[in-house]
Amino acid sequence: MALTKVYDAVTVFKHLNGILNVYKPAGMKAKHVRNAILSNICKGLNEMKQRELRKLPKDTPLLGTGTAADSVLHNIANNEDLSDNILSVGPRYLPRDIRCATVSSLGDHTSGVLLFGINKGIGQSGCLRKNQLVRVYHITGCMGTATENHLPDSHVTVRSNYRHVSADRISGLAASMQASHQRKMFELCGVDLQTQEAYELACKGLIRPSDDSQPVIYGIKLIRLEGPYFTLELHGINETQEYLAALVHDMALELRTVAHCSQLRCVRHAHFDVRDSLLRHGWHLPGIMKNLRQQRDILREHPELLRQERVELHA
Amino acid sequence: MTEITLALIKPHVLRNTYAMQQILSLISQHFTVLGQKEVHITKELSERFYAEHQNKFFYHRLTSFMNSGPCYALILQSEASIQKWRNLLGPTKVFRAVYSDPNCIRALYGLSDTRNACHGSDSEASARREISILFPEFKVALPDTLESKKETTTMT
Amino acid sequence: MLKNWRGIGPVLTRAYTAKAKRSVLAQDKSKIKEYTPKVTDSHVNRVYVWGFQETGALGLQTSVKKAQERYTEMVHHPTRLQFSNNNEITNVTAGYGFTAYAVRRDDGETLFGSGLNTDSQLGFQVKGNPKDPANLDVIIYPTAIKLPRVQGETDEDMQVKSMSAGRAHLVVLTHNGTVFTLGNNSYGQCGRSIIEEERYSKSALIHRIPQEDICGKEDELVHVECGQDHTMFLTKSGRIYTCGWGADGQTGQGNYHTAGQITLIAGDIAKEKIVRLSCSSDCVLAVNEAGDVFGWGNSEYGQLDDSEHAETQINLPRALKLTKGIGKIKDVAAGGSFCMALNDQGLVYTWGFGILGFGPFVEQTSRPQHLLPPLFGRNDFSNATTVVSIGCGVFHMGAVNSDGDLFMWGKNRFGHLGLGHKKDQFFPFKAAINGKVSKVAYGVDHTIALCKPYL
Repeated sequence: MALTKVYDAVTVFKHLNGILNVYKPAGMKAKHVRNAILSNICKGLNEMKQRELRKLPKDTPLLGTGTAADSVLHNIANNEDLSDNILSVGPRYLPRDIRCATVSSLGDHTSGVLLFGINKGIGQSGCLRKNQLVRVYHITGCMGTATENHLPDSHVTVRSNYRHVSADRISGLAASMQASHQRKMFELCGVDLQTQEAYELACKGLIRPSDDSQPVIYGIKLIRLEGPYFTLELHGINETQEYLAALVHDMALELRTVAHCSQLRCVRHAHFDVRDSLLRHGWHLPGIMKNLRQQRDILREHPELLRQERVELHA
Repeated sequence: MTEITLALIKPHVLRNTYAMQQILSLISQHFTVLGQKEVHITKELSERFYAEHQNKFFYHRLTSFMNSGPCYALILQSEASIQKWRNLLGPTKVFRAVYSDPNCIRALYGLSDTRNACHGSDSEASARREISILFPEFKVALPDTLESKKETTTMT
Repeated sequence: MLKNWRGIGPVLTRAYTAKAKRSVLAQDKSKIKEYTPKVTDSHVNRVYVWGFQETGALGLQTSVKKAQERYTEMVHHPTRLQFSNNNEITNVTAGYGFTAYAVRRDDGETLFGSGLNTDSQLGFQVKGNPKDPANLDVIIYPTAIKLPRVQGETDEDMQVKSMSAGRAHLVVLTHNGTVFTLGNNSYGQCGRSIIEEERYSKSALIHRIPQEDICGKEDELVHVECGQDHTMFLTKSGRIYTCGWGADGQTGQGNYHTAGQITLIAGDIAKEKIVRLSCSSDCVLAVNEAGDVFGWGNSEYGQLDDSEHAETQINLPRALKLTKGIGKIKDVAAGGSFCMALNDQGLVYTWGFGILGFGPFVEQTSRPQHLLPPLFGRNDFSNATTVVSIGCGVFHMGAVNSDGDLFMWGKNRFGHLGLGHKKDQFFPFKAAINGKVSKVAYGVDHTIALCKPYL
């Protein structure tokens, strides 16, 4: 299939199924990303070779008008249904023809991996959502100023210095938060600590939360510290942009300074990596088709993404 | 039928003011105290006291442990006091008691199987014998005669 | 026309026109108040304490009156010790209802203590309420213990090198190699001869033993370890000297007597270089350089020997058969009725009787079994995490991993597991401490952790 070039919109639409991995830019709503993707798909499809017009059951010559135009009218193929013509019905493909669902949304300020299920891929995207996969974030905090909603686009509330903050202090704090969250995870998984089940679960190491109500963080580590900015790598489930921003704020307070979250990027969603995700300039039909194919390969390599039976978690 | 028994609070609990308070308040809730005093149990005294255990492997450590400081002895009286006091105490072995009866005196204030907080007489006969060792001045009255009970209380 | 269409289509990025955005941009940042946090010195250790409070061992209260106003019997959550904020604490040890702190400070005091002082195990304390002299038996806030000095001894000489506390005695080894013993000596656990009918309460006696008197001039003491009623000294060359109560054979002197004389012990360790020594009650474990385990003392729960007609009291150090085959042992800990060992792969083995960490039952086994690494924080996100040190009290166990997290399990007596509740914990669970744990003192009903702060 990859070897033969396809010009036919119908064939393309038939293969327009699966999971799509899009790089969501910061400052853009996930809804808008979805709209842009869908309209680009439609645009691409509409530019391709369309299907033949519907045929009428029997030749019905167009009615003559009795003028000089009659000869032209008679030349038009008289077995085609003109009501099916693009010029009369509008574009063949419209965004609402394509079914699309996000696996889990990202906040406005977050950039990075955003997964969509397209057409028949909606079932898969539902599975991915239910399986509560780990997302990996790179979070950059900016020390020195705290803002109202802990994100850069609001009023600054407090300023502070941050000279005393060093890399090993942040990593130490991160390690302790990680351990505390892993303990929390245990309390959230809905098992009584005094039971045998609890012991058996604890032996397995990390486990998934029982529902999607509480954010759980499995790993936090410092990956960069420069000037007022520090970047953390964070693995979590059920997290939201607000939660992560507040986390940066709380960490800063623990470090005896203040900070807001200046950048949030989701670099991995389960096995869907940011390197495979479709950048904005690639949001066109050939790129989308290629991306769908890549994600299909990833799903084939890791069938457990769709069918999760175990409660324990692997990175 | 009222009985009397001997309660002996061992040295390490006597030192722990809080534990001592708790045990004494527990005693006052459940028993009438006929006599109480701080006693220093010497080696000879404890050998006489624990004579029944003479052939057990823990005899030596039991007698020498009592020697580590002053003990507190009480004569308790109540309905079936011997069994009641032993129930409050819990099993002798503290390491087992902390899991089997976590709320008994020994589980709460015992440190090890030897340092098991308190002693309680195991029968009427041994109660009399033990009381006569620690309270030589105390005349063990005939049980359940009201008069003698009065007599004993006035004595203390 | 095309232009028009663009104008009405969805606009993805919008210039700052919204009122709210304008006000954000217009904000005058120079007027915002500056937060200048108080930053503690990075080298200062923090101390967290939890467990039974009525004895004063936690040293959290500053006033008896205040303490009476609210429920203070026990502290379930690790709580920061106020005393550690302005004192650099270098070492801690916990006895039965009391705690001693080794402190480095300018005024030359090196040893502080709080808790029960009924046997003068915290020295002769005159402070307290003169109207209520009984309260002198309980010291609620860490108070200096004045170690008697001979002429020419400097503050540096008096710094604590090692210390350990038993049921009612405290043994301190200072930098210049002098041993100080305080408290109850009814079994000779203070290393002096027993005086019949000696009064220990309100006694000002602190016994002083130069290390030459214990191990001669060639050797030097490196570590002291106390059981409930006995004391052991470990030297640089790996020999062990003991004194105190030997009714279970815990002095390892080959008899069941009480010994006021500090004596070198032999048995199977005669030719071994011992590097670790642990005891919290009456059962003693030791490890030599090669990683073999030796034990003596109480073995009523099969901790030291599991053969059919095993003695329950072992009065001579004996090479343990049951720890063969679990690798090279780095660290050991002996509790009241159980033992634990840490091998060079970072695996924690437990055996004996009690909550051994394998689920919700109390068990007795003489076969050491290891706890799985995920229980101590090893997982895909921190796959290099291993246990680095272990320890135990009489009823509970603990382990510290390479990230500085403390995991506790066992009988939760008066909340001394630090898990925030009173229920027993059946497998290792992280105690919530805000710092990297560097040393833990496991008492009978309280626990003290020495931590390094994140900042």
